[in-house]
Amino acid sequence: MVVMSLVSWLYGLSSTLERGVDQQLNVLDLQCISWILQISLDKSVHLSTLKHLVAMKTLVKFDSTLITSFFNTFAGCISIGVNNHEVVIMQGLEELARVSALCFFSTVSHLLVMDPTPRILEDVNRQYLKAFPAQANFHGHKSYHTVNAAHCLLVQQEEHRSFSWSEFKPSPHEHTVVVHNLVMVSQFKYQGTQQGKVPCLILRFTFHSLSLDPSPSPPVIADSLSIIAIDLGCDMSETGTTTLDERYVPTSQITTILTLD
Amino acid sequence: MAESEDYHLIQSKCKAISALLPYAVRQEQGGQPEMLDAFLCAARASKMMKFGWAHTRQYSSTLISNASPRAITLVSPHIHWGHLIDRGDLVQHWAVAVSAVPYTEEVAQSVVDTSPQIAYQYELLPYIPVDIWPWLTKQPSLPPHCLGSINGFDPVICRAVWGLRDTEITKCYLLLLLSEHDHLSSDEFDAAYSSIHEDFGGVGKG
Repeated sequence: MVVMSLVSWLYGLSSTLERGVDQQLNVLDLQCISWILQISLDKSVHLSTLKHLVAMKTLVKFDSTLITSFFNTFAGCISIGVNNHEVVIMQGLEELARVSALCFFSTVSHLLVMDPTPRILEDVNRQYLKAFPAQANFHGHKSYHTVNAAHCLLVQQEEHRSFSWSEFKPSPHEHTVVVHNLVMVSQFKYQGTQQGKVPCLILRFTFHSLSLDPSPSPPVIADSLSIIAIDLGCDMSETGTTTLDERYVPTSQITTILTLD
Repeated sequence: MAESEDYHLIQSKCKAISALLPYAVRQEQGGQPEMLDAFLCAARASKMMKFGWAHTRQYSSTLISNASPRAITLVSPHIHWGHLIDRGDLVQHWAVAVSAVPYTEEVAQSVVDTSPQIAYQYELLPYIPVDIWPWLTKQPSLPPHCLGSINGFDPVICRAVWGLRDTEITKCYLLLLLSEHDHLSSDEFDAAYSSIHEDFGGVGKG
């Protein structure tokens, strides 16, 4: 009951928070989320809490054990066949699996940007490999792409040739969350580096997003173009919260880059 | 040196530029051709025989089926025709698009670059309508290193063009595509010899 009240409070709080939210409140939010996930055994509470996190636009400094919590929540929703290694999501836990996978992806992205301490990344990777042996087959599951992409980012395996986004058919919200995180990783991790290239995994996602029919929402298109612009060497200024007007890549800017001669 | 640096720069950005293509095609359909024109400009500047990211090949069928006639025609030289599914239908889509787009030098270049590429997939030759080949008589200047001119002079294609029994088309084909080659295999030589001998007379071996 206390936990449910706390979740309700979190929702109430989030509705009153405006852009430029006080970082201290954000930190408190994340601490509450972490605490709820640790003490509650109720899956519906977990689901509400995770949904709250996905709705948060910015994640400031957070305890990296949160990533483990999300991953464990996801791992708790599935079972792996002993013989065929097929990953099966337990009945009734489909949404929790999907949302926890999205949280795992978001927090891995934020950790890479904020605090890519090798030890933490290694710890999470070890847990991932323990839960999912190499032969685990979870193709076809809705969470496959987000979890697998999170793992690729985690181990910084940029050329993951077997990974394909072609079957990735996200909900509009899920799509927005994934591309927002990928543009953030591209901006902070690859923009301005000597090599200047974003990983193929991210570029393939961009191509997949722009190829979708019907076309994705304007913010997804804007973020996809931002990733391409970063790869082409454009300097995308840090503007905080994503808005279409601020991040939109002017055609003229790209034209200039493309037609160097 | 500067040209070489630009070439490497564009080559290294080829994947990102290719990733833009679906958006550029949509923009062009909405009356904003600038992004597609930028893509085409980069493709021509690349000097790669086949511009484009292999990963984007699967999009080619969608493009040929749904894009505007202008976009289909201008992007067609950069499509990997050998890797498509239902290629016969797509060639017919392409031919319809070509017939619908107004003539410009750029369009003529694209058609003359693309038709030999399609014909080089021999089983697609019958799908190329006969009214495509007269585009050769426009004699557009082909971009350097274009795949159409490299694959275009082929014994099978040469005989197919000759089979049209149109001296002007045969002449333009030989001028445009034979002139790009400084060495011919014996098959290519025989095809060229037969064509020149039959149509124009008086050219002998030796």
